[in-house]
Amino acid sequence: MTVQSDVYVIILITIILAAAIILLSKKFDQADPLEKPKGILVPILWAVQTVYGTVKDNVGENYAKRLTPYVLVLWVYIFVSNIISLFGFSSPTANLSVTLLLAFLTWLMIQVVELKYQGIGGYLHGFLEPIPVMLPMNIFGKFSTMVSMSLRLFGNILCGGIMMQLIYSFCQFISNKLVGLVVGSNIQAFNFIAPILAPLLHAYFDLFAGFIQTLVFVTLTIVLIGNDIPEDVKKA
Amino acid sequence: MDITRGLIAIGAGLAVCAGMMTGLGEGTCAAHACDAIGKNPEAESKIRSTMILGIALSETVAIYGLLVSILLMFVFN
Repeated sequence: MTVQSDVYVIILITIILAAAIILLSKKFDQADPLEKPKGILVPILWAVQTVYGTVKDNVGENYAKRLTPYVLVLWVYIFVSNIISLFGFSSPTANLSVTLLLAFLTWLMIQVVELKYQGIGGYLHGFLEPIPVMLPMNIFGKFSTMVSMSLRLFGNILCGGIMMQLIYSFCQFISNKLVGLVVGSNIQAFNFIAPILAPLLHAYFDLFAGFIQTLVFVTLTIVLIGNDIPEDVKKA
Repeated sequence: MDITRGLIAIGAGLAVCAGMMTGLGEGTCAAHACDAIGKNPEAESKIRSTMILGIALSETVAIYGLLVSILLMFVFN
């Protein structure tokens, strides 16, 4: 049995994030709630409050406290996974197993909320809407949320990686040709074009696309869960 | 054998063309969201989440095209 090299990166990131979260929560426990927060606690408090506000707008006060930790973990985990390719590792989110699991958790929450507010009868009746012939389409439609959410993140991050590889090999090709023109033979030259071209594209494909995809995944999670909660529950 | 690989490459390229119209549609969606925010700035957060939902749903088509292309390249090669 062979182990994919992605698995080591996934385990490494999980351990580092878990250690960081445990250390930070210890720091929060020791801090005095009556004093002004200082140091590393300030940006984290800001992040928690911002995410809590967004979650509260969409799912209401009742669920915001329970959903915010999950959304925060999604933010941190997906964003760190997306930008880890800047450091030469392969992104865990370029592995369908990881994104499928994340999408499955979100999908499970959506189903639980639907079951809770529509009842088992209403949930099953939803498959026959608007006409009973639509049953197969509705069954596929239920699962399409999970499939499309996981494939969106997976496809975007994988594509960024493939594009960067293509650009690196293209730069290698151009440098070989340029040096070959001077020296006059086919040699394996130093890839001197890549250091000029690559940083800008890394900033786009890794940082920008990674951030946008994290935002999309998290927003979709919040909005899709919030859609199934009735308005009067949100207001209460 | 060689012509098969060539045809697979052409098919993979054609599959990615699913992204053409998706790009147009997403751009239109974002443009209309900008219009809506200009008309109604206090509803910005609602417009943003609706826009992201719409963009993400229409992006699915492009992602499926990409998936077909990746499958053609790495599975059937």
